[in-house]
Amino acid sequence: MYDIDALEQSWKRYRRKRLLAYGVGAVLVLAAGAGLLYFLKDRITLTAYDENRSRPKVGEHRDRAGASKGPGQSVAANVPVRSGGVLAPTVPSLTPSDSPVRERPKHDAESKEEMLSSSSPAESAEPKKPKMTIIVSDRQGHTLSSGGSGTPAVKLKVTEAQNRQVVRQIEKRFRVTRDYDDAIYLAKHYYRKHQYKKAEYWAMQANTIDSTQEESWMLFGKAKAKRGMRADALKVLQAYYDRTGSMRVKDLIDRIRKGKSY
Amino acid sequence: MRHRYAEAKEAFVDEINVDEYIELEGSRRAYAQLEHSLEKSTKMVLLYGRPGTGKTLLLSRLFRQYHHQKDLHFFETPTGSRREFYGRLFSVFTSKPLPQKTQVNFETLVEFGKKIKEKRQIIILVDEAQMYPPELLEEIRILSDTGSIKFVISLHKTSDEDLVAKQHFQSRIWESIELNNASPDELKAYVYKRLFFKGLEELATGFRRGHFSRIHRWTGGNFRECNKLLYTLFELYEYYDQHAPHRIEYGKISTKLLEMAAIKTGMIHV
Repeated sequence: MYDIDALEQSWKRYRRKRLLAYGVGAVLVLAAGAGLLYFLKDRITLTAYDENRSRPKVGEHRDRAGASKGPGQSVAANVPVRSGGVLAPTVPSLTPSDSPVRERPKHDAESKEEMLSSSSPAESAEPKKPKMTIIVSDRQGHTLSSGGSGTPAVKLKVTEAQNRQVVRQIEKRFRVTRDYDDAIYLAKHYYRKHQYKKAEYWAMQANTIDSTQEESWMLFGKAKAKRGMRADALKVLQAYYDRTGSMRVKDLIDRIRKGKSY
Repeated sequence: MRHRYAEAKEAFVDEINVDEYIELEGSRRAYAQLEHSLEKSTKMVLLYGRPGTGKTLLLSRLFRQYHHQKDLHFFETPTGSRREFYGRLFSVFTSKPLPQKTQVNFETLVEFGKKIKEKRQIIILVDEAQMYPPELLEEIRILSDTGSIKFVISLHKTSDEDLVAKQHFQSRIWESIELNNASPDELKAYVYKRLFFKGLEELATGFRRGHFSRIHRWTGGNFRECNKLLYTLFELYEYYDQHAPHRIEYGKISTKLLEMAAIKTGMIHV
Protein backbone atom coordinates (compact mmCIF):
# COMPACT_ATOMS: atom_id res chain seq x y z
CA MET A 1 0.00 0.00 0.00
CA TYR A 2 1.06 3.54 -0.60
CA ASP A 3 2.48 5.94 1.90
CA ILE A 4 -0.74 7.90 2.12
CA ASP A 5 0.67 10.64 4.36
CA ALA A 6 3.45 11.39 1.92
CA LEU A 7 0.99 11.31 -0.94
CA GLU A 8 -1.32 13.71 0.84
CA GLN A 9 1.58 16.05 1.49
CA SER A 10 2.44 15.94 -2.19
CA TRP A 11 -1.16 16.69 -3.03
CA LYS A 12 -1.18 19.69 -0.68
CA ARG A 13 1.95 21.02 -2.37
CA TYR A 14 0.36 20.51 -5.75
CA ARG A 15 -2.80 22.27 -4.57
CA ARG A 16 -0.83 25.23 -3.26
CA LYS A 17 1.07 25.56 -6.50
CA ARG A 18 -2.11 25.40 -8.51
CA LEU A 19 -3.87 27.99 -6.37
CA LEU A 20 -0.86 30.24 -6.69
CA ALA A 21 -0.90 29.80 -10.43
CA TYR A 22 -4.61 30.64 -10.52
CA GLY A 23 -4.00 33.69 -8.35
CA VAL A 24 -1.22 34.95 -10.57
CA GLY A 25 -3.35 34.27 -13.61
CA ALA A 26 -6.28 36.16 -12.14
CA VAL A 27 -4.09 39.13 -11.26
CA LEU A 28 -2.64 39.19 -14.78
CA VAL A 29 -6.09 39.01 -16.33
CA LEU A 30 -7.35 41.81 -14.10
CA ALA A 31 -4.32 43.93 -14.87
CA ALA A 32 -4.77 43.35 -18.59
CA GLY A 33 -8.47 44.19 -18.29
CA ALA A 34 -7.75 47.37 -16.37
CA GLY A 35 -5.12 48.37 -18.89
CA LEU A 36 -7.48 47.76 -21.75
CA LEU A 37 -10.22 49.71 -20.02
CA TYR A 38 -7.87 52.61 -19.38
CA PHE A 39 -6.72 52.57 -22.98
CA LEU A 40 -10.26 52.43 -24.34
CA LYS A 41 -11.46 55.13 -21.97
CA ASP A 42 -8.77 57.48 -23.20
CA ARG A 43 -9.61 56.75 -26.78
CA ILE A 44 -13.34 57.26 -26.26
CA THR A 45 -12.78 60.57 -24.48
CA LEU A 46 -10.44 61.78 -27.19
CA THR A 47 -12.87 60.78 -29.91
CA ALA A 48 -15.73 62.52 -28.17
CA TYR A 49 -13.58 65.58 -27.64
CA ASP A 50 -12.60 65.67 -31.29
CA GLU A 51 -16.18 65.24 -32.40
CA ASN A 52 -17.27 67.97 -30.07
CA ARG A 53 -14.65 70.35 -31.33
CA SER A 54 -15.84 69.87 -34.89
CA ARG A 55 -19.57 69.74 -34.17
CA PRO A 56 -20.48 71.65 -31.02
CA LYS A 57 -24.02 71.07 -29.89
CA VAL A 58 -24.30 72.58 -26.50
CA GLY A 59 -27.79 73.54 -25.55
CA GLU A 60 -29.26 74.87 -22.40
CA HIS A 61 -32.76 75.59 -21.36
CA ARG A 62 -33.27 78.54 -19.16
CA ASP A 63 -36.44 80.09 -18.17
CA ARG A 64 -35.17 83.62 -18.16
CA ALA A 65 -38.64 85.12 -18.20
CA GLY A 66 -38.78 83.95 -14.63
CA ALA A 67 -42.53 83.56 -14.66
CA SER A 68 -42.33 80.74 -12.16
CA LYS A 69 -39.59 82.30 -10.14
CA GLY A 70 -39.60 84.89 -7.54
CA PRO A 71 -38.60 88.45 -8.24
CA GLY A 72 -35.29 87.88 -6.58
CA GLN A 73 -34.18 85.19 -9.02
CA SER A 74 -32.58 85.66 -12.33
CA VAL A 75 -31.11 83.58 -15.08
CA ALA A 76 -27.60 84.16 -14.00
CA ALA A 77 -28.44 82.93 -10.54
CA ASN A 78 -28.80 79.47 -12.05
CA VAL A 79 -25.23 79.50 -13.23
CA PRO A 80 -23.02 78.54 -10.35
CA VAL A 81 -19.57 80.02 -10.44
CA ARG A 82 -16.59 78.66 -8.69
CA SER A 83 -13.83 80.94 -7.76
CA GLY A 84 -11.09 78.85 -9.33
CA GLY A 85 -12.51 78.77 -12.83
CA VAL A 86 -12.96 81.28 -15.54
CA LEU A 87 -16.42 80.23 -16.40
CA ALA A 88 -18.53 77.44 -15.03
CA PRO A 89 -21.87 77.17 -16.70
CA THR A 90 -23.82 74.18 -15.47
CA VAL A 91 -25.64 72.34 -18.19
CA PRO A 92 -27.69 69.59 -16.61
CA SER A 93 -28.91 68.22 -19.89
CA LEU A 94 -29.14 69.02 -23.51
CA THR A 95 -32.36 70.16 -25.02
CA PRO A 96 -33.07 68.54 -28.38
CA SER A 97 -32.83 70.87 -31.30
CA ASP A 98 -36.51 70.64 -32.03
CA SER A 99 -37.31 72.20 -28.70
CA PRO A 100 -38.80 75.68 -28.95
CA VAL A 101 -36.17 76.96 -26.55
CA ARG A 102 -33.53 76.29 -29.17
CA GLU A 103 -35.28 78.76 -31.45
CA ARG A 104 -34.29 81.73 -29.30
CA PRO A 105 -31.89 84.25 -30.81
CA LYS A 106 -28.20 83.91 -30.32
CA HIS A 107 -27.88 86.86 -28.02
CA ASP A 108 -29.40 84.80 -25.26
CA ALA A 109 -27.18 83.75 -22.34
CA GLU A 110 -27.22 80.27 -23.81
CA SER A 111 -25.61 81.49 -26.98
CA LYS A 112 -22.69 82.86 -25.00
CA GLU A 113 -21.91 79.45 -23.62
CA GLU A 114 -22.24 77.98 -27.04
CA MET A 115 -19.83 80.52 -28.33
CA LEU A 116 -17.47 79.80 -25.48
CA SER A 117 -17.58 76.13 -26.11
CA SER A 118 -17.36 76.12 -29.86
CA SER A 119 -15.80 78.01 -32.66
CA SER A 120 -18.50 77.43 -35.27
CA PRO A 121 -21.94 78.42 -34.02
CA ALA A 122 -23.46 77.69 -37.40
CA GLU A 123 -23.12 74.01 -36.72
CA SER A 124 -24.73 74.11 -33.33
CA ALA A 125 -28.20 73.24 -34.55
CA GLU A 126 -27.53 69.50 -34.55
CA PRO A 127 -30.47 67.21 -33.69
CA LYS A 128 -30.47 65.11 -30.53
CA LYS A 129 -27.51 65.14 -28.28
CA PRO A 130 -26.80 62.92 -25.30
CA LYS A 131 -26.29 64.29 -21.84
CA MET A 132 -22.90 65.77 -21.52
CA THR A 133 -20.47 67.14 -19.06
CA ILE A 134 -18.88 70.46 -19.76
CA ILE A 135 -15.45 70.93 -18.42
CA VAL A 136 -14.06 74.42 -18.30
CA SER A 137 -10.46 75.02 -17.43
CA ASP A 138 -8.58 78.04 -16.18
CA ARG A 139 -5.02 79.03 -16.82
CA GLN A 140 -3.69 76.62 -14.28
CA GLY A 141 -5.53 73.76 -15.92
CA HIS A 142 -8.07 73.44 -13.11
CA THR A 143 -11.31 72.17 -14.44
CA LEU A 144 -14.92 72.40 -13.47
CA SER A 145 -17.41 69.88 -14.66
CA SER A 146 -21.11 69.32 -14.60
CA GLY A 147 -23.59 66.86 -15.98
CA GLY A 148 -25.14 63.49 -15.29
CA SER A 149 -22.96 60.81 -13.79
CA GLY A 150 -24.59 57.87 -15.48
CA THR A 151 -24.24 59.05 -19.06
CA PRO A 152 -21.08 59.09 -21.11
CA ALA A 153 -19.44 62.47 -20.70
CA VAL A 154 -18.55 64.64 -23.63
CA LYS A 155 -15.96 67.13 -22.53
CA LEU A 156 -15.65 70.65 -23.73
CA LYS A 157 -12.61 72.68 -23.05
CA VAL A 158 -12.60 76.45 -23.24
CA THR A 159 -9.32 78.18 -23.40
CA GLU A 160 -8.57 81.57 -22.02
CA ALA A 161 -7.80 82.95 -25.45
CA GLN A 162 -11.17 81.87 -26.76
CA ASN A 163 -12.81 83.41 -23.71
CA ARG A 164 -11.29 86.85 -24.22
CA GLN A 165 -12.26 86.81 -27.85
CA VAL A 166 -15.83 85.98 -27.02
CA VAL A 167 -16.04 88.63 -24.33
CA ARG A 168 -14.92 91.20 -26.86
CA GLN A 169 -17.55 89.98 -29.28
CA ILE A 170 -20.26 90.24 -26.64
CA GLU A 171 -19.22 93.74 -25.67
CA LYS A 172 -19.33 94.73 -29.31
CA ARG A 173 -22.68 93.10 -29.78
CA PHE A 174 -24.16 94.72 -26.69
CA ARG A 175 -24.00 98.16 -28.28
CA VAL A 176 -26.51 96.97 -30.82
CA THR A 177 -28.62 94.49 -28.90
CA ARG A 178 -28.74 96.08 -25.43
CA ASP A 179 -29.47 92.62 -24.08
CA TYR A 180 -29.71 92.05 -20.32
CA ASP A 181 -28.06 88.64 -20.51
CA ASP A 182 -25.07 90.06 -22.34
CA ALA A 183 -24.65 92.75 -19.73
CA ILE A 184 -25.01 90.49 -16.71
CA TYR A 185 -22.72 87.96 -18.29
CA LEU A 186 -20.03 90.57 -18.79
CA ALA A 187 -20.52 91.84 -15.25
CA LYS A 188 -20.03 88.40 -13.83
CA HIS A 189 -17.10 87.76 -16.10
CA TYR A 190 -15.24 90.85 -14.98
CA TYR A 191 -16.16 90.28 -11.36
CA ARG A 192 -14.56 86.88 -11.52
CA LYS A 193 -11.54 88.44 -13.12
CA HIS A 194 -11.33 90.92 -10.22
CA GLN A 195 -11.89 93.79 -12.62
CA TYR A 196 -14.45 95.36 -10.32
CA LYS A 197 -14.75 98.65 -12.07
CA LYS A 198 -15.77 96.96 -15.30
CA ALA A 199 -17.98 94.56 -13.34
CA GLU A 200 -19.72 97.54 -11.73
CA TYR A 201 -20.18 99.16 -15.10
CA TRP A 202 -21.76 96.08 -16.67
CA ALA A 203 -23.92 95.40 -13.64
CA MET A 204 -25.22 98.93 -13.95
CA GLN A 205 -25.90 98.35 -17.64
CA ALA A 206 -27.85 95.18 -16.81
CA ASN A 207 -29.73 96.98 -14.07
CA THR A 208 -30.62 99.75 -16.44
CA ILE A 209 -32.15 97.25 -18.83
CA ASP A 210 -34.01 95.29 -16.18
CA SER A 211 -34.03 96.75 -12.69
CA THR A 212 -36.12 93.89 -11.29
CA GLN A 213 -33.29 91.39 -11.54
CA GLU A 214 -31.68 90.74 -8.17
CA GLU A 215 -28.48 89.50 -9.72
CA SER A 216 -27.59 92.82 -11.24
CA TRP A 217 -28.18 94.59 -7.94
CA MET A 218 -26.08 92.17 -6.01
CA LEU A 219 -23.26 92.23 -8.53
CA PHE A 220 -23.28 95.99 -8.55
CA GLY A 221 -23.15 96.10 -4.77
CA LYS A 222 -20.43 93.50 -4.50
CA ALA A 223 -18.28 95.17 -7.17
CA LYS A 224 -18.69 98.50 -5.47
CA ALA A 225 -17.76 97.07 -2.10
CA LYS A 226 -14.74 95.36 -3.58
CA ARG A 227 -13.58 98.67 -4.92
CA GLY A 228 -13.62 99.98 -1.35
CA MET A 229 -16.86 101.85 -1.55
CA ARG A 230 -18.64 99.82 1.08
CA ALA A 231 -20.94 102.62 2.19
CA ASP A 232 -22.18 103.18 -1.34
CA ALA A 233 -22.59 99.48 -1.84
CA LEU A 234 -24.59 99.09 1.37
CA LYS A 235 -26.75 102.04 0.47
CA VAL A 236 -27.68 100.60 -2.90
CA LEU A 237 -28.28 97.11 -1.55
CA GLN A 238 -30.32 98.41 1.37
CA ALA A 239 -32.53 100.32 -1.05
CA TYR A 240 -33.14 97.14 -3.04
CA TYR A 241 -33.77 95.15 0.14
CA ASP A 242 -36.26 97.68 1.39
CA ARG A 243 -38.14 97.38 -1.84
CA THR A 244 -38.08 93.60 -2.32
CA GLY A 245 -37.24 92.09 1.07
CA SER A 246 -34.84 89.66 -0.62
CA MET A 247 -33.09 87.44 1.92
CA ARG A 248 -30.14 86.92 -0.32
CA VAL A 249 -29.55 90.63 -0.51
CA LYS A 250 -30.00 90.87 3.25
CA ASP A 251 -27.40 88.21 3.71
CA LEU A 252 -25.04 90.05 1.37
CA ILE A 253 -25.57 93.28 3.27
CA ASP A 254 -24.73 91.54 6.53
CA ARG A 255 -21.63 90.01 5.08
CA ILE A 256 -20.35 93.29 3.72
CA ARG A 257 -21.06 94.98 7.02
CA LYS A 258 -19.27 92.33 9.04
CA GLY A 259 -16.38 92.09 6.62
CA LYS A 260 -17.08 88.46 5.75
CA SER A 261 -16.32 86.95 2.38
CA TYR A 262 -18.95 87.21 -0.32
CA MET B 1 -15.61 -10.09 2.61
CA ARG B 2 -14.73 -8.60 -0.76
CA HIS B 3 -14.18 -4.90 -0.60
CA ARG B 4 -16.51 -2.65 -2.54
CA TYR B 5 -13.73 -0.71 -4.27
CA ALA B 6 -11.80 -3.87 -5.15
CA GLU B 7 -14.24 -4.58 -7.96
CA ALA B 8 -13.79 -1.11 -9.32
CA LYS B 9 -10.03 -1.47 -9.13
CA GLU B 10 -10.13 -4.72 -11.07
CA ALA B 11 -12.19 -3.13 -13.78
CA PHE B 12 -9.07 -1.21 -14.72
CA VAL B 13 -6.49 -3.96 -14.57
CA ASP B 14 -4.52 -3.54 -17.77
CA GLU B 15 -4.91 -6.91 -19.43
CA ILE B 16 -6.10 -8.13 -22.78
CA ASN B 17 -9.54 -9.50 -22.16
CA VAL B 18 -11.52 -9.90 -25.33
CA ASP B 19 -14.62 -10.71 -23.33
CA GLU B 20 -14.55 -7.23 -21.90
CA TYR B 21 -13.82 -5.56 -25.17
CA ILE B 22 -15.27 -2.07 -25.18
CA GLU B 23 -16.31 -0.83 -28.52
CA LEU B 24 -15.73 2.84 -29.04
CA GLU B 25 -16.13 4.82 -32.20
CA GLY B 26 -12.42 4.87 -33.09
CA SER B 27 -11.83 1.20 -32.43
CA ARG B 28 -15.08 0.20 -34.15
CA ARG B 29 -13.95 1.94 -37.31
CA ALA B 30 -10.49 0.38 -37.17
CA TYR B 31 -11.97 -3.07 -36.61
CA ALA B 32 -14.30 -2.69 -39.57
CA GLN B 33 -11.31 -1.74 -41.71
CA LEU B 34 -9.38 -4.76 -40.47
CA GLU B 35 -12.26 -7.09 -41.24
CA HIS B 36 -12.57 -5.64 -44.69
CA SER B 37 -8.83 -5.96 -45.34
CA LEU B 38 -8.98 -9.69 -44.54
CA GLU B 39 -11.26 -10.17 -47.51
CA LYS B 40 -9.08 -8.25 -49.90
CA SER B 41 -6.08 -9.70 -51.69
CA THR B 42 -3.65 -7.46 -49.89
CA LYS B 43 -0.21 -8.77 -49.00
CA MET B 44 0.31 -6.75 -45.88
CA VAL B 45 -1.84 -4.70 -43.57
CA LEU B 46 -0.25 -2.28 -41.15
CA LEU B 47 -2.04 -1.50 -37.92
CA TYR B 48 -0.28 1.26 -36.03
CA GLY B 49 -0.87 3.59 -33.14
CA ARG B 50 0.69 4.83 -29.97
CA PRO B 51 1.17 2.33 -27.14
CA GLY B 52 -2.04 1.76 -25.25
CA THR B 53 -4.42 2.58 -28.06
CA GLY B 54 -5.78 -0.97 -28.22
CA LYS B 55 -3.91 -2.59 -31.11
CA THR B 56 -3.33 -5.91 -29.36
CA LEU B 57 -6.92 -6.06 -28.16
CA LEU B 58 -8.14 -5.40 -31.67
CA LEU B 59 -5.97 -8.16 -33.13
CA SER B 60 -7.05 -10.52 -30.35
CA ARG B 61 -10.66 -9.83 -31.08
CA LEU B 62 -10.12 -10.34 -34.80
CA PHE B 63 -8.34 -13.61 -34.17
CA ARG B 64 -11.03 -14.80 -31.81
CA GLN B 65 -13.78 -14.01 -34.26
CA TYR B 66 -12.21 -15.42 -37.44
CA HIS B 67 -9.75 -18.16 -36.48
CA HIS B 68 -12.35 -20.86 -37.06
CA GLN B 69 -13.45 -19.47 -40.37
CA LYS B 70 -10.11 -18.56 -41.90
CA ASP B 71 -6.55 -19.84 -41.92
CA LEU B 72 -5.76 -17.23 -39.31
CA HIS B 73 -2.83 -17.27 -36.90
CA PHE B 74 -1.80 -14.84 -34.20
CA PHE B 75 1.83 -14.24 -33.24
CA GLU B 76 0.99 -12.42 -30.04
CA THR B 77 4.40 -12.19 -28.46
CA PRO B 78 7.48 -11.24 -30.44
CA THR B 79 9.96 -14.01 -31.02
CA GLY B 80 13.45 -13.67 -29.72
CA SER B 81 15.14 -15.19 -32.72
CA ARG B 82 14.67 -15.95 -36.38
CA ARG B 83 14.70 -19.67 -35.60
CA GLU B 84 11.77 -19.31 -33.28
CA PHE B 85 9.86 -17.24 -35.81
CA TYR B 86 10.45 -19.75 -38.57
CA GLY B 87 9.51 -22.53 -36.15
CA ARG B 88 6.17 -20.82 -35.71
CA LEU B 89 5.78 -20.44 -39.45
CA PHE B 90 6.60 -24.11 -39.85
CA SER B 91 3.81 -24.94 -37.42
CA VAL B 92 1.45 -22.72 -39.39
CA PHE B 93 2.31 -24.44 -42.67
CA THR B 94 2.40 -28.01 -41.40
CA SER B 95 0.26 -27.84 -38.28
CA LYS B 96 3.12 -29.60 -36.51
CA PRO B 97 5.72 -28.27 -34.12
CA LEU B 98 9.23 -27.83 -35.39
CA PRO B 99 11.27 -30.88 -34.44
CA GLN B 100 14.03 -30.42 -31.91
CA LYS B 101 17.48 -29.61 -33.20
CA THR B 102 16.22 -28.73 -36.66
CA GLN B 103 16.34 -25.48 -38.54
CA VAL B 104 14.02 -24.02 -41.13
CA ASN B 105 15.62 -22.83 -44.30
CA PHE B 106 14.18 -19.47 -45.40
CA GLU B 107 14.46 -20.30 -49.11
CA THR B 108 12.54 -23.50 -48.50
CA LEU B 109 9.83 -21.54 -46.75
CA VAL B 110 9.53 -19.15 -49.67
CA GLU B 111 9.31 -22.02 -52.11
CA PHE B 112 6.72 -23.71 -49.94
CA GLY B 113 4.74 -20.49 -49.83
CA LYS B 114 4.72 -20.27 -53.60
CA LYS B 115 3.56 -23.88 -53.88
CA ILE B 116 0.57 -23.48 -51.62
CA LYS B 117 -0.48 -20.17 -53.16
CA GLU B 118 -3.46 -21.64 -54.98
CA LYS B 119 -4.49 -23.91 -52.11
CA ARG B 120 -4.26 -21.79 -48.98
CA GLN B 121 -4.59 -18.17 -48.01
CA ILE B 122 -2.79 -17.92 -44.70
CA ILE B 123 -3.27 -14.80 -42.59
CA ILE B 124 -0.78 -14.12 -39.82
CA LEU B 125 -1.38 -11.44 -37.25
CA VAL B 126 1.96 -10.15 -35.94
CA ASP B 127 1.78 -8.05 -32.82
CA GLU B 128 4.57 -5.79 -31.56
CA ALA B 129 6.38 -6.01 -34.86
CA GLN B 130 8.68 -3.17 -33.90
CA MET B 131 10.47 -5.67 -31.69
CA TYR B 132 11.50 -7.89 -34.59
CA PRO B 133 14.98 -7.40 -36.01
CA PRO B 134 15.11 -5.54 -39.32
CA GLU B 135 16.39 -8.62 -41.19
CA LEU B 136 13.39 -10.58 -40.09
CA LEU B 137 11.06 -7.80 -41.15
CA GLU B 138 12.71 -7.90 -44.56
CA GLU B 139 12.14 -11.66 -44.75
CA ILE B 140 8.48 -11.17 -43.74
CA ARG B 141 8.18 -8.84 -46.68
CA ILE B 142 9.68 -11.43 -49.01
CA LEU B 143 7.35 -14.09 -47.65
CA SER B 144 4.34 -11.83 -48.26
CA ASP B 145 5.46 -11.59 -51.88
CA THR B 146 4.75 -15.31 -52.36
CA GLY B 147 1.05 -14.39 -52.35
CA SER B 148 0.08 -17.24 -50.04
CA ILE B 149 0.68 -15.43 -46.74
CA LYS B 150 -0.93 -12.21 -45.69
CA PHE B 151 0.60 -10.42 -42.74
CA VAL B 152 -1.31 -8.08 -40.49
CA ILE B 153 1.41 -6.24 -38.66
CA SER B 154 0.89 -4.19 -35.56
CA LEU B 155 3.44 -1.46 -34.87
CA HIS B 156 3.91 1.20 -32.26
CA LYS B 157 3.74 4.61 -33.74
CA THR B 158 6.89 6.44 -32.89
CA SER B 159 9.13 8.38 -35.19
CA ASP B 160 11.71 5.58 -35.32
CA GLU B 161 9.16 2.86 -35.75
CA ASP B 162 7.48 4.79 -38.51
CA LEU B 163 10.81 4.71 -40.26
CA VAL B 164 10.99 0.94 -39.80
CA ALA B 165 7.58 0.59 -41.33
CA LYS B 166 8.46 2.82 -44.21
CA GLN B 167 11.76 1.18 -44.95
CA HIS B 168 10.58 -2.38 -44.91
CA PHE B 169 6.96 -2.34 -45.83
CA GLN B 170 6.09 0.79 -47.68
CA SER B 171 5.96 -0.78 -51.12
CA ARG B 172 4.12 -3.86 -49.86
CA ILE B 173 1.56 -2.26 -47.59
CA TRP B 174 -1.79 -2.08 -49.25
CA GLU B 175 -3.78 -1.20 -46.23
CA SER B 176 -2.78 1.04 -43.38
CA ILE B 177 -4.95 1.47 -40.30
CA GLU B 178 -4.18 3.93 -37.55
CA LEU B 179 -5.52 3.72 -34.03
CA ASN B 180 -5.66 7.02 -32.21
CA ASN B 181 -5.95 7.91 -28.56
CA ALA B 182 -9.47 8.37 -27.29
CA SER B 183 -11.30 11.64 -27.41
CA PRO B 184 -12.69 12.97 -24.09
CA ASP B 185 -16.12 11.57 -24.92
CA GLU B 186 -14.68 8.19 -25.86
CA LEU B 187 -12.68 8.09 -22.67
CA LYS B 188 -15.79 8.87 -20.68
CA ALA B 189 -17.66 6.08 -22.46
CA TYR B 190 -14.72 3.75 -21.80
CA VAL B 191 -14.71 4.46 -18.06
CA TYR B 192 -18.47 4.10 -17.82
CA LYS B 193 -18.52 0.83 -19.71
CA ARG B 194 -15.65 -0.61 -17.72
CA LEU B 195 -17.52 0.08 -14.48
CA PHE B 196 -20.86 -1.03 -15.90
CA PHE B 197 -19.34 -4.38 -16.82
CA LYS B 198 -18.64 -4.86 -13.13
CA GLY B 199 -22.08 -3.66 -12.12
CA LEU B 200 -20.72 -0.48 -10.55
CA GLU B 201 -23.14 2.00 -12.06
CA GLU B 202 -23.23 4.04 -8.87
CA LEU B 203 -19.50 4.60 -8.98
CA ALA B 204 -19.58 5.36 -12.69
CA THR B 205 -22.12 8.10 -12.18
CA GLY B 206 -20.00 9.50 -9.35
CA PHE B 207 -17.60 10.98 -11.91
CA ARG B 208 -18.26 14.55 -12.91
CA ARG B 209 -17.57 16.13 -16.27
CA GLY B 210 -14.54 17.94 -14.89
CA HIS B 211 -13.08 14.61 -13.81
CA PHE B 212 -13.11 13.31 -17.37
CA SER B 213 -11.50 16.50 -18.62
CA ARG B 214 -8.73 16.00 -16.10
CA ILE B 215 -8.34 12.32 -16.86
CA HIS B 216 -8.13 13.06 -20.56
CA ARG B 217 -5.63 15.84 -19.99
CA TRP B 218 -3.40 13.71 -17.82
CA THR B 219 -3.59 10.53 -19.87
CA GLY B 220 -3.75 12.10 -23.32
CA GLY B 221 -6.69 9.80 -24.05
CA ASN B 222 -4.48 6.72 -23.77
CA PHE B 223 -6.38 3.70 -22.51
CA ARG B 224 -3.40 2.14 -20.79
CA GLU B 225 -2.65 5.35 -18.91
CA CYS B 226 -6.31 5.71 -18.07
CA ASN B 227 -6.37 2.18 -16.67
CA LYS B 228 -3.31 2.94 -14.59
CA LEU B 229 -4.79 6.13 -13.21
CA LEU B 230 -8.18 4.69 -12.35
CA TYR B 231 -6.70 1.55 -10.88
CA THR B 232 -4.64 3.75 -8.56
CA LEU B 233 -7.67 5.90 -7.79
CA PHE B 234 -9.75 2.96 -6.63
CA GLU B 235 -6.82 1.55 -4.76
CA LEU B 236 -6.68 4.81 -2.82
CA TYR B 237 -10.41 4.60 -2.25
CA GLU B 238 -9.95 1.08 -1.00
CA TYR B 239 -7.35 2.28 1.48
CA TYR B 240 -9.50 5.14 2.78
CA ASP B 241 -12.53 2.90 2.94
CA GLN B 242 -10.63 0.58 5.22
CA HIS B 243 -8.72 3.08 7.33
CA ALA B 244 -10.59 6.38 7.23
CA PRO B 245 -14.05 5.82 5.80
CA HIS B 246 -15.30 9.17 7.11
CA ARG B 247 -13.00 10.91 4.64
CA ILE B 248 -14.67 9.54 1.53
CA GLU B 249 -18.19 9.50 0.23
CA TYR B 250 -19.34 6.44 -1.63
CA GLY B 251 -20.93 7.21 -4.96
CA LYS B 252 -18.99 10.42 -5.41
CA ILE B 253 -15.54 10.61 -6.89
CA SER B 254 -13.30 13.05 -5.09
CA THR B 255 -11.17 15.38 -7.16
CA LYS B 256 -8.58 15.29 -4.42
CA LEU B 257 -8.20 11.53 -4.66
CA LEU B 258 -8.13 11.72 -8.43
CA GLU B 259 -5.30 14.24 -8.21
CA MET B 260 -3.53 12.10 -5.66
CA ALA B 261 -3.77 9.13 -8.03
CA ALA B 262 -2.34 11.27 -10.82
CA ILE B 263 0.52 12.32 -8.54
CA LYS B 264 1.14 8.72 -7.60
CA THR B 265 1.22 7.54 -11.20
CA GLY B 266 3.51 10.40 -12.21
CA MET B 267 0.97 12.13 -14.41
CA ILE B 268 1.20 15.21 -12.21
CA HIS B 269 4.61 16.41 -11.22
CA VAL B 270 4.72 18.19 -7.90
